[in-house]
Amino acid sequence: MAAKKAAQSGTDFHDLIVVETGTNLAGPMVSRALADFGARVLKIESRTRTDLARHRPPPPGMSRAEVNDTSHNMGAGKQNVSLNLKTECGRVIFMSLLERADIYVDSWAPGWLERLGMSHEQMMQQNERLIIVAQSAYGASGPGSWQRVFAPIMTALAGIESLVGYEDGRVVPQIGSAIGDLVAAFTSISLVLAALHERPRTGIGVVLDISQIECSAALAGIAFAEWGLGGDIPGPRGNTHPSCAPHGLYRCAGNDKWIALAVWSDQEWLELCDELDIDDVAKVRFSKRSARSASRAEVDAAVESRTRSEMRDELVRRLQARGLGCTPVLDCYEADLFEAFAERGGLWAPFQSQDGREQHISRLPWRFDTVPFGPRATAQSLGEATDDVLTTMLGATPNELERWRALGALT
Amino acid sequence: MAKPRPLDDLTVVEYGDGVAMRFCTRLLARLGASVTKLTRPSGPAAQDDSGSLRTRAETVYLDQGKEELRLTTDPSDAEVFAHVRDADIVVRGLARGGAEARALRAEFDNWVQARTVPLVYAAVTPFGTWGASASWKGGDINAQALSGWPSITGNPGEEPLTMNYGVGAMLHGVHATAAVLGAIVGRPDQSRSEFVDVSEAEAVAASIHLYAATYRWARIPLVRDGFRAPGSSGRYPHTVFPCKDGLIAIILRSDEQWDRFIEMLGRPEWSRDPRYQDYYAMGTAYPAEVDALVVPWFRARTKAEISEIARKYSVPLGAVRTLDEVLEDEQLAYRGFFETCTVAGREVSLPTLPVWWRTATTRDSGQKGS
Repeated sequence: MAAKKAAQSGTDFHDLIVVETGTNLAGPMVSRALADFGARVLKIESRTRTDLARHRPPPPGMSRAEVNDTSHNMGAGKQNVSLNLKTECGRVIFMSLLERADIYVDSWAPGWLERLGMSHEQMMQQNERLIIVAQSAYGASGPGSWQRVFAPIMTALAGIESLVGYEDGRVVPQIGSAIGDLVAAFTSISLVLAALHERPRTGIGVVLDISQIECSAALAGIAFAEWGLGGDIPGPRGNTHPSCAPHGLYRCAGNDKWIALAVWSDQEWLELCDELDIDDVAKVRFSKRSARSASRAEVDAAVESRTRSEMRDELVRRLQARGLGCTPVLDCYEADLFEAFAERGGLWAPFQSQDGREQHISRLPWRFDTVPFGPRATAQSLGEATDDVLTTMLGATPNELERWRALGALT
Repeated sequence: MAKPRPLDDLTVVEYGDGVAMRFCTRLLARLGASVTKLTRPSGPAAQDDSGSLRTRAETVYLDQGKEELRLTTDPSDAEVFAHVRDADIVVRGLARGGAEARALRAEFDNWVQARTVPLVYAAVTPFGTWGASASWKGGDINAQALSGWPSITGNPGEEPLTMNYGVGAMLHGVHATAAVLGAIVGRPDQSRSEFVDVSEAEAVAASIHLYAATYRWARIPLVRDGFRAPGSSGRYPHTVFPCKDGLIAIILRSDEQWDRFIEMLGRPEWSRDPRYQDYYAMGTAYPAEVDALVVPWFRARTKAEISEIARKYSVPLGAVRTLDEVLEDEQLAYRGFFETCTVAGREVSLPTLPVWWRTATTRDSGQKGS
């Protein structure tokens, strides 16, 4: 049999030019990942319309800054170009950059380009190989496309937040994280990479009209399926699993110290009982998985009555030694420094920013053998690369730069 | 109309278990890849509850669009290799960590040695395939526990909360998909194979770390605070307000948005007080005091009424919707986001891909990514 020919994309990230006009996290994170792969990313901004990530109020003792920790993370490895798209000259320069680009990432609300006399269609006509990420709350068209969102609103409208809370039905949303932004970003990255894979075969680009709310709703798929197959409308379940008990977070000695524990088999239950010295009545009564699942609250109480007096990390060590699925519940500071993460590259890389502060730039959790990947620099200040980019990419002369500046195009 | 199939030249084999692996290959299948699902004759160890609602729901949602091949022997290394020999991608999943995770690297090496074409092999596991935690026992809930995520979700003093219904594992699956395609597109030598390692603990932790930059900048302790993001993430409000018939999520990120919000509330007298113009202090020092001024306006109105008024004032907020409310959403219907399939006589509505895929030839109407 003839050997199968391998499917190949053959794209060198270092040859790619990405132009981005995103804001906050969901859009900028797409081009941040492409920068981590080695692409040249141009972040287009203007002092007349700055990225909302710059709008974080300063903490006490600090003055308002153009670059904060969030914008450093989202802008890492990008070249910042200041262009005022409200000027005709700014728009001409912008379209000239897009003519040379491979990917354009846009995450402002639908209609903003049209109000400036531009459109994605116009960009495609000018550069048919362009891959456009048009990320918006709800999609570029339709009766709800007016909706404006940030991460917690995406997950609220997508139904995700209605699934988070305690077993007694109280919804307590996971509002402190930005899962909506991040799942939109990482889904978008996958779609861009799929389009990049396809482009050498078709020779043309694509508009990826991505709905951030749909990205979140896709994560509720199992819950939608449960409901459709005859369950109740899904709501909060705490940390329980319908097929497993004990399955949850259990309090240990100390201030807000917990373990995560899941016991899937009857043998594991016996091991747990032996290690925690759970009484024989409970040990026997709940020896079968079905019995444990049917009396979850009693099982949880029996377990937590024993874990409460135990030191978290020591208990984890002992339960792991018995082959049980048990880990500490780390707080965010512990996770940042967790040895097992650090050993594999860590959650962040240290960089020195221009103001002399050490910046921890997040590392994406994709570990490759040979693909060069990772943050390369902190974010630039607004407009820092304007002259360099316009000179190297468009061949602008000092006189042209001066004239464009006088026209207000580079503010 | 033809559907977008950007990956239709790729063959993928899914082998192992775990929601993340299955969600990853579901996404690849939806993008056109040919996906074969290899299952052991005994089935995954964790699924001896094969008839449960949860297990059936996972099957309906996660295994769509795949060709299932049940192996005849177990263990069956030679038989597995026969199926992966020509695949472009193998997505290898473990629902739970343990010694098996450490063995995946050797499996990859053996397969690559015996193959004639390059392979992208993705190990999708709770804790990774190497390092101090690689041999740890545990699954989804344990991986989330390491990430820091539960420590900021839930009420103070009560049990921290994880993402249930497989949401955390599917976030892991999204990361795995991006990593697999990153390797397909970007490996420097396309004639070489690539081993990709994506752990759930790191995937969730990295997601938290990315947003935690906001808290670091604002010098806000990362602790759980019920309805409110810790310290309102440095700017009031970043919270959920109770209303007449449910909950409303709201987050304002600029001075202009706050102005429009105050306008929406009818420019109450208190809003002129300088105490209520310091967004950082309102968010971190006395958010409950401001809540007490704002919440009565919300409590007097329904989710629908608030959403309509907010639209008029361009205030970013949204109702915390239950799944039946999501399914009735006219915008999602317009986009064709849900598809219906019939399972055992029941109609089940399921999410599809969150994208309209428009090329130059489909510019007018778009093609729904299914």
